[in-house]
Amino acid sequence: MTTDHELDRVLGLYFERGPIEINDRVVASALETIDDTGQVRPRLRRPRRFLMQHAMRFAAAAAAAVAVVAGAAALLNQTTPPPVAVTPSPPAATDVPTPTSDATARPSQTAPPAGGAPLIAYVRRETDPNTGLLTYKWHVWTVEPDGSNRRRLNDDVSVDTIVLGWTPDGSRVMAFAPGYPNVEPETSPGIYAFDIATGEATQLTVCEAPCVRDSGPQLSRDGSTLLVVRETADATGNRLGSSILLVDMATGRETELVGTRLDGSFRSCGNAGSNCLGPWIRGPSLSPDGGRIAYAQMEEVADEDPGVVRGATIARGDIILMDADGSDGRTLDLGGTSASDPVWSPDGSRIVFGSYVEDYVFGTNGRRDTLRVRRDIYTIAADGTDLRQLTDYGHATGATWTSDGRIRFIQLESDGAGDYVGDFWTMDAAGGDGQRLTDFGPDAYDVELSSLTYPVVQWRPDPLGQ
Amino acid sequence: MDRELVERAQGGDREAFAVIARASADRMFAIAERILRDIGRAEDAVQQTLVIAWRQLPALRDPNRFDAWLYRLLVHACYSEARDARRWGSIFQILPADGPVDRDETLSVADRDQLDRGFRRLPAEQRSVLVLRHYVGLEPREIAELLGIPEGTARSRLHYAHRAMRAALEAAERPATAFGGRSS
Repeated sequence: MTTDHELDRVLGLYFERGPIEINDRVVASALETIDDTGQVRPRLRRPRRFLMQHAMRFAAAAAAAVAVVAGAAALLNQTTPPPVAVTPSPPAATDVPTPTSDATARPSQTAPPAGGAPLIAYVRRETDPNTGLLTYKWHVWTVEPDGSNRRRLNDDVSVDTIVLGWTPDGSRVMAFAPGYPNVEPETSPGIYAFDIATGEATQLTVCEAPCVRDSGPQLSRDGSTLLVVRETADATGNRLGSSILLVDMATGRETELVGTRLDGSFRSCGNAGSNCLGPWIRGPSLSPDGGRIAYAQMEEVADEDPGVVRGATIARGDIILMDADGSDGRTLDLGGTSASDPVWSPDGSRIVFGSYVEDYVFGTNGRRDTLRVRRDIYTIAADGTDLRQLTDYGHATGATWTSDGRIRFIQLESDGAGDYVGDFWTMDAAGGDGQRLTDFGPDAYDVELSSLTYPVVQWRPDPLGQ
Repeated sequence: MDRELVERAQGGDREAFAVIARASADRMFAIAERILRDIGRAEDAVQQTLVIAWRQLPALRDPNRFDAWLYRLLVHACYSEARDARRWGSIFQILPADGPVDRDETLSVADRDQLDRGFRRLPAEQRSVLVLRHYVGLEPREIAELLGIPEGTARSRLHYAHRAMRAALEAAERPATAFGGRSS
């Protein structure tokens, strides 16, 4: 048995050996790049256009021009800015209200908006009020779309930063608490629901080893069942698989509907030397009538593009429809589009989803490619026909539906420094009539509206039955 | 790092940033190489870190925390490189050995070989905490602060990484089979 002291010594020796000086050309090359590179101060760029039908483009452009002129006229007349852009994208920058910049936001004591008033849930890392330093606690907050009335729902339960969802009635926010050791008070890992009026936290799932995370929570309209994706891993972090669980809220009984199994994290695939990760499951969505479930199954595959260096792999996903008991699964034909995160429309007739397309961009140094992820929004009829692409600029994500059949989503813009910031927009079901709902700008970082991987900000669902 | 230099670089002084880059690059490279165990990727991680640092430097609130901030950028660049490395199928590449050596002074070839296999199987997050703990010499609390994770998470990652490395080391001490493999 190797003692701690011996292991410490061996690891010290292991890491001691290795190069300690970098080739001067590497630093010189970086500095050359910097010579052509400006510095970035947080700001939000103008959004790009949506993909619209040809017939709509002229009208949209004309309407946008009218909006710009109207906005300019409003400025000249020093009138109060209109509340929210209501014209097709891209709106003039003056069309939206300026949010309250509040980098050290403290919880508001104001009650949350009643009923189904617009509200956004997000996860925020806490700052120590005494020292101003960031802590190791993340909590669920809400904010109104104009950036006002930021409220921390609960002080006690620390959550992770990638799982977030609303209950269908908009009264509670669901998030995953990993149960970090040494973060007081100790929390049982699992999905929690936070009441937006009282902050009361209710544990909905229990995630014990080998469970490492429950994600994608979706509560049925009657509150009787909960859908989650459960990820499992062994003690060293090698993933074992993921599965969709149906949790009976009355008894806590968990039923696995479908799952993937991994032997460790990798498998051989494609070209010689390739190792692929997967498969794994994302984003189950229960149809409004409760009869069917749509979800995405992701996996890594060999990249067959001859322009890519031998052995490269990319992630891709399929949308699968199945009955609510896990039977009769079938993969939708998306015409080769890699997809994730399906969501049923309120009337159950269509499914909106995000494309997830990875490819490689050749670097200027001729030897290093970088992986690029493009995300756009599509819809498809529930019977698997009538596939429609709604955006084409590569940075639209987090699509859901409004009660009147429009699509609400997050549009991400590069900040030029490797990250993305975004805002909520809506568009009609044909991809036109874009309307901007928020303008968080640099504050997007504060509300964690900057993730390209997971939308960790969720708009409150519209009231049921409307 | 000298605060004045950092503040000048924050104001857009490229010469100041060049001084900072040259002073920091060797240390960054050594850390990145130990996390990634690949010189080319470590060089890329350093390049990526320097470019991002230059661009984001105006947003650094406290110039006195420049070093920790730079290391955090570096570790995240290593995560990105490790992800690509996984995609490019190089996770089981074995480092060349330098010949038999006395275990009392350094590691045996078998130890190093097994340690390397064990290390390369670790997720990048666990590799990072091992390197920060055993090469940079940081305490778990400092690692947590540097990486922006809870201290418990840093300790947990260290625990699992230590367990894997201990298992790898003990595998090296078992007799080899007749086919050159190792008994289970």
